[in-house]
Amino acid sequence: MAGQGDGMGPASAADRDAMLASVYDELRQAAARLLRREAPFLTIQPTELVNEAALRVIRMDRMTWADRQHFFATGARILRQAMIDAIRQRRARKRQAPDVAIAGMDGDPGFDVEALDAALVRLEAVSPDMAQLVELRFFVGLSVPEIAELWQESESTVKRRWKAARLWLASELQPI
Amino acid sequence: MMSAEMRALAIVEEALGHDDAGDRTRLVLALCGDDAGLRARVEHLLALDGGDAPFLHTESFVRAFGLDDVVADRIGPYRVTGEIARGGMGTVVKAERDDGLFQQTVAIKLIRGDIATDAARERFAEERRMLARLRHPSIVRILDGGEHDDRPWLAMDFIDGLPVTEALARAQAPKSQRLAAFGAICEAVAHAHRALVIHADIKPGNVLMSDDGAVHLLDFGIARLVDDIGREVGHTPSPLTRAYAAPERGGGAPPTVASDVFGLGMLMVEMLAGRAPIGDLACVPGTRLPAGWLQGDLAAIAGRALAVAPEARYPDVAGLIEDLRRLGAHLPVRARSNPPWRYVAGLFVRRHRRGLALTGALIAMLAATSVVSTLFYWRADAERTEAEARFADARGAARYMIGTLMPRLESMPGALRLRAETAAAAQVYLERLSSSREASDEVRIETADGLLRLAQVQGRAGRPNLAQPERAEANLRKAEALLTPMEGPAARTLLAHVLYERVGLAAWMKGDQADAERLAERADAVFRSLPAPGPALTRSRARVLADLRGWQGRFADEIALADAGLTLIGPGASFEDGMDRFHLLGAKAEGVYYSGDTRQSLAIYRERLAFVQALRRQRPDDPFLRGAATVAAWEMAMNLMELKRTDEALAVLGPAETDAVAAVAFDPADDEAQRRLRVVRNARAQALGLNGQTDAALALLAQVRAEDARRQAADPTPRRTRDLVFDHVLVGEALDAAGRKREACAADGETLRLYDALSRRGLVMALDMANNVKLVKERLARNCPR
Repeated sequence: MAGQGDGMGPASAADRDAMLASVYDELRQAAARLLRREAPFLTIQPTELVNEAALRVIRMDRMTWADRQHFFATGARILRQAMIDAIRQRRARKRQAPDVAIAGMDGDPGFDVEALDAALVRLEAVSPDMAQLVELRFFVGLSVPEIAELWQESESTVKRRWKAARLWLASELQPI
Repeated sequence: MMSAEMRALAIVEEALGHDDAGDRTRLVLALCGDDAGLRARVEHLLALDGGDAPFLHTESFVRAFGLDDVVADRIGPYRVTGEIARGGMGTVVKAERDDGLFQQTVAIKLIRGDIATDAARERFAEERRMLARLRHPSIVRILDGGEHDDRPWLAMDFIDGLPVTEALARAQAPKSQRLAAFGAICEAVAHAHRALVIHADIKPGNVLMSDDGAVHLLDFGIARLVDDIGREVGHTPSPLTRAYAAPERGGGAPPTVASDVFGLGMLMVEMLAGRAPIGDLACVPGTRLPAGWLQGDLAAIAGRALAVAPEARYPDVAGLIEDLRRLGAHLPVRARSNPPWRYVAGLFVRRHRRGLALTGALIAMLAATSVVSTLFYWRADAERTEAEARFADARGAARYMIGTLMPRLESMPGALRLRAETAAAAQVYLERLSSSREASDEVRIETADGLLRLAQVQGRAGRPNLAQPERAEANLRKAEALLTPMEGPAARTLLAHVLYERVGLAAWMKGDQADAERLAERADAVFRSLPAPGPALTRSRARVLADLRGWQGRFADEIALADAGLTLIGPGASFEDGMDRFHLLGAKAEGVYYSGDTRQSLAIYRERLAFVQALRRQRPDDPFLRGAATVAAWEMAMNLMELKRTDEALAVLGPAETDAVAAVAFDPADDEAQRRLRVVRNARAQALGLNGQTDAALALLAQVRAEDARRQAADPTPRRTRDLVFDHVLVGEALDAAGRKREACAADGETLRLYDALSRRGLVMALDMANNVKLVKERLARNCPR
């Protein structure tokens, strides 16, 4: 991990790493717990979750931007995994919970979870940046300006990349 | 080396920077050059823009999980017939039970269960059962519950009504009706608090008024249930109804008795002023009472409930109810003064709010963002900490109820039933403590002490008690079992206290002298084994044993024990010491009286009556002292009658009967008060008979006997049975004094028959034999034809 904070001694760096490890662990548990149940009201806010976890790390030693990016990338991965798992589980138990269907937002047709996951894996190979952007956007719920700030890029750049990524996913997942 | 797909994506990204179609095309052509495959791929991707392919309009999946809440047609044995409301916590539907057993309309709350662990669900089920036991006419009952599709649900009474403020407005209800409705709500909340359930969200929407004017509190403890579900997710401030939330809750403090008192204050303002205290209002300083909305005592009461500082509020809803009663009875309300107990209780509430609320945070509706603080609560040892916290709560709650709440309830009108309920709640906590494997010796001693005090409340004669000798006995036995294996002096001293309490209970409440004697020997054995028994124990021993010796007719011993006890009480002693002195003077006087020196005993009785009247002047409101004065007057009057000074006796008995009547009116459930009234009336009848007013005497005796027969039939305790037989003794006496020999013979014959029956059941005491039975036999010999 690059760019450690000024004046940070080795002891606190070790502490920070331990803290990060524990935060990720908790994040994983949190996501798993949140998604384990098939409740109709699963309105979680992973953004808050990740931000809160970040706050704890930041409080301990001022987190550098690089750390932040790394942190969010990891957090997003964790949440993506948890949510995809949850959706798979729901699918598996659909018989018991007919009301659970993964609908896209705003009239989008539904999509196939396995296909999405596979597409994301492929996107990673093509453009890791875009894959991460999709994770941050889809699974953490960070807004474009937030991602722009995190990545220290212009909003228009992020917006453009986001759109390109969605077009790419759309083509991958297009109904045959 | 960039793959074709990478290049395609990079070109698409760049092309998207141009909104104009012509610009885009030119850019794509320039960047793709002569790579037709690349160009086709780029154009394919760009062609999707603006279409309806998957994801193009998806911003985030985070909200995609907020699916519609589809409610099943059937939940448990209920058929869903309609929707009542939906909110962040879940959905409320109307449903019918139609399984052929009952026809019943219910409201079913489906609670979000998405975040609950199995442990939390188990607690949910446990707490639901606890809430189901919350029975009060003004609390909407939880009827049933379970899980449906992994979602916990609760079925409760369906109430056809309006929010109370709306119903009152529509009915244009007068102030008296508004106050009555508010009082009923307070009673319901107080009832729940005694069961250690905090409402946490008192507001008009949660209080419905049906057409018949009855109020129904909704969602009692639901907050708690939801919190338990959400415990894994940590503590979050609930989305409180801001206008109704106590100020400290805004700072994230957990709901407490004090915050419910505040919620009631807000409700009171809205119910009486007819408008909602919402918005930026000028308030009475130190309170959230809008200035000028209420006047006089109403303003004082609401202001105290709405004090910004929790410790300045009524310490509990019972205090609020007391003031409402005082208001109704045109007595000065306490809100205008500063009761000394307030601070103590306030302190407790602060220190033990967890115990009182049963939980640290009651969350009415779990906001989506609540996951924020989860992370802080997931620790490997969370379970253990939780168990410890609950344990400490049980201890604190029991201590509060027995040490602070119960004594205070003693001086509240009509509080006996409340005391019984409080005692029952305390009992639950003490059971939990005494059966806990975690308990240290210290906790066991404290638990035993709690059990002893509870037993005193349940059945200590001569104090306001609940007439529950069996429960008292059971608790004393439990305390004994806890203490017996322990060695230290504190445990041994307490054990002696417990055993002496059992002596008193056996002798006085149960009338079992043999058992009392055996217990006294055991108690004395413990007492003697103590290296240095304290003065409190020594005095308790003297008091209990003096009484016992009196019952056994060993009056010299009674006097000696009483004198020994009296020497332990110094001058200028405390109130509690005063109570012991009063008791010991009584024992001494009794011993002297029954020894035959009725002049000396009269002097002691006179001293005793003067002493208790002096105490009463110190504490005019104390209902116990009123009872004590009645007893002292009665005993002195009996002594006066013995000396044939019937006029003086009647003069003493008049005010005593007035006091006794007032005591019964003060709390009709007070067994001791009823007993005192019958004793005083019997004495006055005796005095009237001795004074030649035989018919008046017989009429009064008949009144007492009818009342005693009713009480005995309702609950044939040994004491009530003995009381009823004693009533018969007096009838014979009055007839004998009037020279109506034939009637006296018949009455006394019946009395002796009753004593025989009592004797066969082992209920006749030495004192009965030596005095009453002997008297009756003498009269029979005199009045019956040979």
